[in-house]
Amino acid sequence: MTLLSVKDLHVSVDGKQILNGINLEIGEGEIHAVMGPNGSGKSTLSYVLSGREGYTVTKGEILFKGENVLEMEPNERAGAGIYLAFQYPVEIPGVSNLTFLKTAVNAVRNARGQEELDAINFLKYAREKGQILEMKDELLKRPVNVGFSGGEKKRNEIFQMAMLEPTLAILDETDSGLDIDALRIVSEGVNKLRSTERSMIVITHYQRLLDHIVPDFVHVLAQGKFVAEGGKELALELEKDGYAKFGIEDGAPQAA
Amino acid sequence: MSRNDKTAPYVESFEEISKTLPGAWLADTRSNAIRQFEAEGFPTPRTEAWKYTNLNRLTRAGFNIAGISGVSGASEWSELVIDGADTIVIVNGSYDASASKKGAVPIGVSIAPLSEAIERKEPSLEGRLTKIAPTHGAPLVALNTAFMREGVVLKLGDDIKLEQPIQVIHFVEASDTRLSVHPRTLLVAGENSSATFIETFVGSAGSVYWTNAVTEIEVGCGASILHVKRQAESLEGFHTALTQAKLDRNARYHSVSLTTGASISRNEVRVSFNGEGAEALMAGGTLLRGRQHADNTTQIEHTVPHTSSNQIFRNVLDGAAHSVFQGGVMVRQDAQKTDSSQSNHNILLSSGAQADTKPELQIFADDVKCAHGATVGDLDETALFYLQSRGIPARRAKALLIEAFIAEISDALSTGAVRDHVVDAVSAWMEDLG
Repeated sequence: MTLLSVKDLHVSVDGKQILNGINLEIGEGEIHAVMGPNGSGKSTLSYVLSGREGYTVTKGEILFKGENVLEMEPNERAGAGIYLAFQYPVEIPGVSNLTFLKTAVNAVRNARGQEELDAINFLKYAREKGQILEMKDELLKRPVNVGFSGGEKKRNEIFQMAMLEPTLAILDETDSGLDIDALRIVSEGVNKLRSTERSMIVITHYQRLLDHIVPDFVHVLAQGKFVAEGGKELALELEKDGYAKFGIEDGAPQAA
Repeated sequence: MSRNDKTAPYVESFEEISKTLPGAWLADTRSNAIRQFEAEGFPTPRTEAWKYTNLNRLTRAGFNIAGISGVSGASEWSELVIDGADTIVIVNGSYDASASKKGAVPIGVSIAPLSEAIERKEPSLEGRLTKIAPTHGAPLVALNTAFMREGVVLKLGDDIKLEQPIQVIHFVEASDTRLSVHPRTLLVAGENSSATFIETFVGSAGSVYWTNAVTEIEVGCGASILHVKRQAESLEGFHTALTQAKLDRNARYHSVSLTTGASISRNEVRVSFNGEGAEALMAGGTLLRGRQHADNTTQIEHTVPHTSSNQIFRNVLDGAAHSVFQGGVMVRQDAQKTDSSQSNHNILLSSGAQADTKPELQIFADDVKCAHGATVGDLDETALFYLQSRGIPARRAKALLIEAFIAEISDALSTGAVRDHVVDAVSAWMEDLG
């Protein structure tokens, strides 16, 4: 069954056209990789799906579980099951990770008609999910992402994903800024969260992440459009031949 | 209206009622003060210290000096009573004995209504009352000195550690006559004593009145005072207040204020150091909406070596509200090793809001640390989206960010009823957030 259906999506930011007709169908439990060079529109796609302000849909539609996503506030989308793991997780001084997560988990549970968790049950739940990501308890007490290393921030993103149990997770360059060990922990965490009821969009510049999180489909994004689509072998081709094969200039440095 | 037109009604009132004011021994002090008020007039933006606060609306309104009033049945202040505190309730400028609640105080502590302390001519008043806060160049202090009738005198003997907080509630009830009240508070902390003192200003909703308060504080050697001020006046009311604290050697004075009330308010805190090793913290949070105007002005005088002061002011402004912060620090030539810092951060929730911030540092010593910083900005849009993307509705997300922003103020308070007093006020303000 189709979970997400994006049809002929055109998006502009500050009057500048960024996405020029994206079509994307995602079924339940599928993992789709979206690859593309810098400036191809990858982050715009993730933001427009999650509802960030300033991204104007000039044409096309997005249906999630058959409902028009564009009419929903970002928090309503989260309640419906869409989750974005940020490329640059935001630091929020003064708000503890615990308060933040408890507010978020209960808001989402509320939206899904589930009972809110009290303090004790919430802690139990957080510890249980924290194990998946090898989260230290201490990180829960600290302000959201403040003083976290790059790896801890990304781990925190996947931890939140585990807590909020989305049906569609968008991972926006989750591999950027991670060393090998951090990449392993994060991608193992993601793999543990794979299930037949959870689909994912894995946005990345490089093949590296896809060695760990193996996609069912790969889409190559350039200048706001998918220019090639295929199975996981497409990612390997890209790794070997670079984006140039698709007539795309890539100014970004190659992965080490 | 000329200056005289504005001051004349107060001068006339003084002539009428001065004989009914407590303490014949204060008669000269009072009449000198009213003459000084008359000569200096109301402060105007022409003086640097009042650059951003215009009292025109206050001076035009015309207020009557509150006389002695009867016992009030109103209880709008009751939800602001701090659990476990001794409370002194002052209604329309008169002491309300039946509403006040005093437990047994330890030997060496005295708490008395100002009028009684004046009539008894308590020794602790000598050299302190009207002396700690001078009237020169401070016409509103002068006006208070002329008319002061009620307030509290709290005296802590040496080595007294007062466990229960002392709370003074100043309540003004709606009335047809526009009242002005001039409460005066004196706190004298003996050597190595400590106490928590809370002043709560509140008025019945919609009433138009003017509170013009003066609080004088003397913190003895090694003593420690936490002074909390909650300004929750009626949104149509006016509030002007000056607190002057004098710190002796190794004394500690922490002042935490939260401002949400009044149409126009001015909260001025002055601290002077008379002994080495003393330390002052001034933390202030201001939450305004509509057309409210609030001014926090400080003046810290570092006169002796090895003292420190820290100022933390956080303002959140909605609607067409206007906040002012003027942070004055004076480091005299002898005040080497002074450690002083101040920060004022402002969040504007609407395009109509305005924040003025002005650090005023004058440094005449050469071996000191003095830091200051100020920012004015919107609520962080990226943080707001981040919270929303986790399912948190916009209103709740905003409230979380504002609470976090203002939390630095309540962080100056240890956990307990006093901290709740401040934190609950922030939450209550947030409930009406658009």
